[in-house]
Amino acid sequence: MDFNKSQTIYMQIADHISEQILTGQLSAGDKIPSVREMATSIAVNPNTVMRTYTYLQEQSIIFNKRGIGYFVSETALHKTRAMKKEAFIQKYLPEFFKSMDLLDIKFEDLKTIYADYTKSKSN
Amino acid sequence: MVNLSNITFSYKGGLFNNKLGQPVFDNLDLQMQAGQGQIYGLLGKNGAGKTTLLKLISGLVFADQGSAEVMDYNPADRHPGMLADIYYVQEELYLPEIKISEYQRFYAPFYPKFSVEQFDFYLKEFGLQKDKKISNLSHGQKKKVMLSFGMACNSRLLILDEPTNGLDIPSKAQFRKMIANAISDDRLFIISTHQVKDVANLIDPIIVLENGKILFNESVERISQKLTFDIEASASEPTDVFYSERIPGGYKTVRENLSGVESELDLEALFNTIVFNQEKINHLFQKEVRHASN
Amino acid sequence: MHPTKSFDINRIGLLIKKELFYQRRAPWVIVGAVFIVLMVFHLLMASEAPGENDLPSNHVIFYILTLVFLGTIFTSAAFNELNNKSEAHHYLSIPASHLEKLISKWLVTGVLFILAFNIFYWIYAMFSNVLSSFFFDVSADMWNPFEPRQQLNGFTPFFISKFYLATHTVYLAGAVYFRKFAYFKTMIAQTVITVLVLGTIASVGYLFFRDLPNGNLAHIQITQDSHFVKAIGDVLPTIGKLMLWIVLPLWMLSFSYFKLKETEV
Repeated sequence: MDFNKSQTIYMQIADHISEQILTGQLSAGDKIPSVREMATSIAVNPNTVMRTYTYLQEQSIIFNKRGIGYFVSETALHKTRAMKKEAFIQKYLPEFFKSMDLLDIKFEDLKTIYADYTKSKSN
Repeated sequence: MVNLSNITFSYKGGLFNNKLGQPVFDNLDLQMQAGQGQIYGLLGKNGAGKTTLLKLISGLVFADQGSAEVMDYNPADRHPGMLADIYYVQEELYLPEIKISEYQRFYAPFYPKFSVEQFDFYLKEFGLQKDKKISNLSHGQKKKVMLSFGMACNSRLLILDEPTNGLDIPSKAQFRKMIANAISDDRLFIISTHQVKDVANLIDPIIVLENGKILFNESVERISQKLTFDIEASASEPTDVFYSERIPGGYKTVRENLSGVESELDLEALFNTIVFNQEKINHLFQKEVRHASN
Repeated sequence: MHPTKSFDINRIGLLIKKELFYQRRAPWVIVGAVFIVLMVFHLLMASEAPGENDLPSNHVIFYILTLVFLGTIFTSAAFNELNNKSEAHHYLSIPASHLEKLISKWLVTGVLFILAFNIFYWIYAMFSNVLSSFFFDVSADMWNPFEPRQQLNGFTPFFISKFYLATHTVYLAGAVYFRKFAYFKTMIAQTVITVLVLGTIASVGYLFFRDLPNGNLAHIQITQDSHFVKAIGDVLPTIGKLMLWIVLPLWMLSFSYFKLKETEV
């Protein structure tokens, strides 16, 4: 889900947490690492982690229990998926279509490739 | 916590210690506050006076003019209360010919907030044994001893002058983790360095010292809101940029952030932008201040 | 606002503990060398002694010479850490006030040194007599610096120690003031200053008393028992004592204090 290589660090951390929510590694009610724990484990300034957590709180993906820590909210999966879908359509697809045009790949070609992909995944 | 205003300083020299040559600082102003994640990165070219500035803050050199205040003390007094709340890890280390445990025995009691558990933990993380003689260690290991001691002192002000010089590659990552772990609400760290890659994602705010003045003192958040760092695949030199630099994939660019989308901060590019494009940067970062005062 | 006191006896204790630990090895070489030199001289003199109790007392010279030699060298090295930039940085950053640092240095180079020296000399005196009576059947006067009745040309060791404490502050000041070779620089400075002071006194004295051979001083008839000479005779020793015991050490210590306070790295 790396839409933009030069994305700011706090958003990279947010993406990382979102990814864990989408894949089910984190589910509603789970406690996420404290600001200090997270900052230490990925060696970034705690300010940056704080910004990530504030952002995720604003998006209602996590919530803060005073004095206990941050937890994944009930609506997290739903919200995250909606957000990522939005980003996928807004940011990734235009780039994707541009490349398709450049490489002269037709939409019909995509269908076959996608069918192959789902087949190999189910095997 | 650190408050310098109108500081003028030049090195003494000559027969009667009369002041000679260009001043190192000329009407320098700098304010720094403690707070969650206040790990100031002090950047500047060679000879810009970074170490002198750190010494001025810790009372090892005295300003010729202007006022300096560090944790409610005048640093030039070298009051024990202030010294006990500062730990300064020098670039050129002095370490006596004693064991690490002896160093702890003789110096730790001067620091009321010193934690033996933390010291042991940091040493263990760096893979150092306490019964080793400090003078027999390599430069990098000595640095690790002092960094461990400095962090374990729990002083409110921790000053690190080129802390990653001499550290091996795995230790640099350990060092970053330790610093990220050690910073807290009531502490202020200052890291002066040329090795910006070693402390990327760690330092915030960024200070740039140039021509005896503080050119720049801004938080990473504000920098990201104001500037866009990008890599552009164009074949010709991009125009309308604050800074651009040829790299294998095209050009590294720094532009004004007009879209509002924040990008990852590139410290080297930022530094060059500030140094080579002072006026534009000043203008860009002062805009908001003017609005606010209206 | 400032909970940490600027003066704390405990910190002086910590500084002294550190000083002593750092000094634990270096001086032994010099002490050992001096011990051997003294012993050789003593035995040489013993071998030349004509009779059993005829070994001349050499303590006057030996005691004072070694005290001055060891003391001034040791004191001159007191602030060696200021010679090197990063070492000076480290020392000045130790959380203790300048006064505490100076007092710890004064105690180590003064009081503790004099104590250690007296013990050293006591051991030497006993040991040298044992050796000389064993080899040559002669021994010098017994010497115990801690014995109050012990005399040395009319001076007690206690007086000499006190004298050392007052005057070694000159070398302490030199140690703070001079970077590198503080010992020699202090010696030269001391000599120059002494010559200047004596020269000034002599010149002033000459101006005042040049007519003295004629029995004339500013129209005052000078005789042996005149009030003027008596007054000078009363006042001069007091002034001298005051200078030696109070003015000199206090002046040197405050000089050292301000010099240390204004040291930058």
